[in-house]
Amino acid sequence: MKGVFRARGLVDGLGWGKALISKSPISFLEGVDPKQGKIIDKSHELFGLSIDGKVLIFPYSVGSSVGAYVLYKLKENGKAPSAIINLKSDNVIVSGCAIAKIPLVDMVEGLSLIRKGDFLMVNGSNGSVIIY
Amino acid sequence: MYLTNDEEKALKGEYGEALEISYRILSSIGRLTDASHLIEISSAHVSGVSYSTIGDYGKEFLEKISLNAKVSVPTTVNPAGLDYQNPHDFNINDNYVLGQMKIIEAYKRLGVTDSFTCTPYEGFYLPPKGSHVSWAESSASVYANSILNLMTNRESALSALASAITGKTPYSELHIEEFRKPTLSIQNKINNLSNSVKFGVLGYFAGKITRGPMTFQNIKNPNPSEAKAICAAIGTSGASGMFMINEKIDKVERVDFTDNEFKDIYDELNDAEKGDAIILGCPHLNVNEINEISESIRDRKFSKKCLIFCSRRTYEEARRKGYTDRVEKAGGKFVCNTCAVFTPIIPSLGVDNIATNSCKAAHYIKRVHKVSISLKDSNEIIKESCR
Repeated sequence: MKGVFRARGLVDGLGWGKALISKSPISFLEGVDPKQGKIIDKSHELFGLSIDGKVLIFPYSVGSSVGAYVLYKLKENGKAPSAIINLKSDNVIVSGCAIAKIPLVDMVEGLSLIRKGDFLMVNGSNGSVIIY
Repeated sequence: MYLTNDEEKALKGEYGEALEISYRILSSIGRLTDASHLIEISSAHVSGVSYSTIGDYGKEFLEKISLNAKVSVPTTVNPAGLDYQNPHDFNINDNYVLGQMKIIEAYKRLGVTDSFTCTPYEGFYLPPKGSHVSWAESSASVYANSILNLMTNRESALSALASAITGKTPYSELHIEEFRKPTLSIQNKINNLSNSVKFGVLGYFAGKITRGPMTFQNIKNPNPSEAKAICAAIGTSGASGMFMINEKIDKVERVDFTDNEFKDIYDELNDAEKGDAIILGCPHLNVNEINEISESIRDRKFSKKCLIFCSRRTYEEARRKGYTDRVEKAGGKFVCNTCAVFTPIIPSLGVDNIATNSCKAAHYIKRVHKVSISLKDSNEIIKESCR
């Protein structure tokens, strides 16, 4: 285990899974297919990858505020990430995770230690991330 | 963020799913904005009504939450993508009409006021000055803070809906006096700055350069049309939620607004000499503005399509006062309860250029519908388009 790190807990809940990391922001409306739970924006670094069950890490969201409803739809379809970690969250991602019940944290102290595929436990209620 | 026992129970789902979801939204936004607690609001204005913006995902969410929820404070809603009393105007396809109708039904089930306008402050319930409210629709939030003496953050469709259902909003940012102090002073250097286009360009410029409250120096007090234009433009180009006028503030950064800044913004928004159709009413027109259009048409007729967007309530009042007759005889068409931008009506016109007096419409119509814009004052548009 690499350690337990403090974060700002934004949306309550516990979620775990393998880390999927994007250095660029994500537009959920244009960039994610809620049926398959995949990144469909061809210009995005995660193009073609599944976010289903992953701990999805990206700086913040961009694009339409309808992105919030896309997160809800992903959850309804059983294709949502198990948790989300942002550098700094925004209104769209926060409200989307809130309605979809996806645990959300930002401002994680050990963010730079996380590597793709690390197993993570994200606690949105008390604001912590465990890196295994 | 502190929650009362009762709010905690609601968050845990003890009062049903709609309140649980609403409190999840508010507590999460509260943490994001460092709110200490929730406060009561006296009204809400909810965006996310047009099927063009929220689509099927938004529709399905609203259909579900509206089954077991009601708003608990006076709540107005934004315009839709079509006029639901005349849904088949403009040959909008059945699929769109059906989707939009379902959204409207969901909002009606929630118990909102039948407003369907982006200017709920004209003709609908206005809370007392100094009240905390939760208003989405950026042009209306900026107007609430800057012109109406209300206090609101720039809410989203979901946060305003959550506030409408719970009657509460996180106590943060523009709800707190110290965060309402201007952090930038914009010095107007243009003589006799007046009309909607000029105030709009000033607002668009200001919204681009700051996220915080601002003060404008050396401008006249805007009339309602100019105020709507500057608020809508600030809401369009950036994230700022309020401004003051000629408020002397010491020790803040100063920026000049000269003919150069005006020209840069104007050239960015205006990319056509003339429009092949006219769009007025972004934000929605009020009764006086309709009268002004009627006055400037006189007994001439439009030589091109002219669409005028307003709430049905405004239209009915203007009609009773005899202001709509001349406009309709001239060939102008009123489109009620509909957004001038996020609607299939714009592409249905089949034109490559549109004339408008709105910086907000210019910004969005260009991007959403790939149409060029001729940005001019409404008097000028009418002068060049009426014979």
